[in-house]
Amino acid sequence: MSEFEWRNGMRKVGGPVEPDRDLWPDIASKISAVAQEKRPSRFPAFAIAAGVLVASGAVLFAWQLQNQPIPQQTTQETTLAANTPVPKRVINNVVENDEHAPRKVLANASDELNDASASIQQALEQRPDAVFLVNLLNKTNSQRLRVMKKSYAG
Amino acid sequence: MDGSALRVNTQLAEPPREDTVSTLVRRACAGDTRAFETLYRDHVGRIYGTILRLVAMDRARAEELTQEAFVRAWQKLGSFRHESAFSTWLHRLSVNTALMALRGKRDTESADEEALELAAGGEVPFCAAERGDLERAVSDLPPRARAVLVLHDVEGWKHEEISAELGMAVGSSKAQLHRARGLLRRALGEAA
Repeated sequence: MSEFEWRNGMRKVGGPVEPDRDLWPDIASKISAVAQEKRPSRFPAFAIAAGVLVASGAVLFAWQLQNQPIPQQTTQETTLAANTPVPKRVINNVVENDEHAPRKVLANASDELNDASASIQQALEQRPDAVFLVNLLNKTNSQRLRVMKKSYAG
Repeated sequence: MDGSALRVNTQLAEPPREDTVSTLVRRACAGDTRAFETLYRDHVGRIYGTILRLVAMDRARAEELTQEAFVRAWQKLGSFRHESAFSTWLHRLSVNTALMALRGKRDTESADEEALELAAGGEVPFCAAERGDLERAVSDLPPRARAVLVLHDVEGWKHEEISAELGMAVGSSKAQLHRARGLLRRALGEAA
């Protein structure tokens, strides 16, 4: 048999074939079931994102405190600490009457931001399509950069 | 016979424009099931046809695996990188789905081979065989030989691609193709 004959023969076997029935309704219901199964796994991503937001807020707050003059700082901290859910270690570092306090605050801020960045990246691995996580990661990274610059300047 | 000269490219009669497909894929990836339905309707003929040939023209099994392939495609849309054509990506995923099913039925291979031996020796020459005869003959091939023949001669895959997908050496893929062609010729009544 020539190659031409073989090629013609096999061409008869190939090509699209339409199924006897519309498979889409079954596929659609299976997709819907898959989506419902997946839904609970979204909660960790949102929880991580919320945690990261709180951490970022705390870091920003600590940053503001660190930039205040010492006498005002103590007064403001006492008031704000009573009303704001800021991580205790951040407040402790700010209220310390230590000459290295500003440096420690920056170090803590840097640690918080590094943790936040890592958490967001983990969340992104679970939800690579989550645009809000990408925005959050960008914001966190720009804050990290500012803290680093401040550390080097200080 | 040089196998590389025998590849037959099967394409959609009217393939959808790739930029349209890309938009549909992005929408489907964002959860738009209507966009995914459009992709399904554009591609189901080729996907079902390929799977049907791989599962020996078992239409019920092919329908089941086609559904499974599209559900897997939906789940994995996020991993599609838009670097290759969506049709190629979907086709590979579908073939992989069918091959996984075939691997699970490998224990029936010897029975298939016996059936083929009995079926061999007919009087119909290959070139005169009708599509139905060819499909039946291909269906009667042992699963691995059939998979290699369909992927190489019908779908136009290279031996390197087949060997990677089937987890065999390139040489084994070539040997399986040679065997499949020989068995096919015998089944269609032509001495190898």
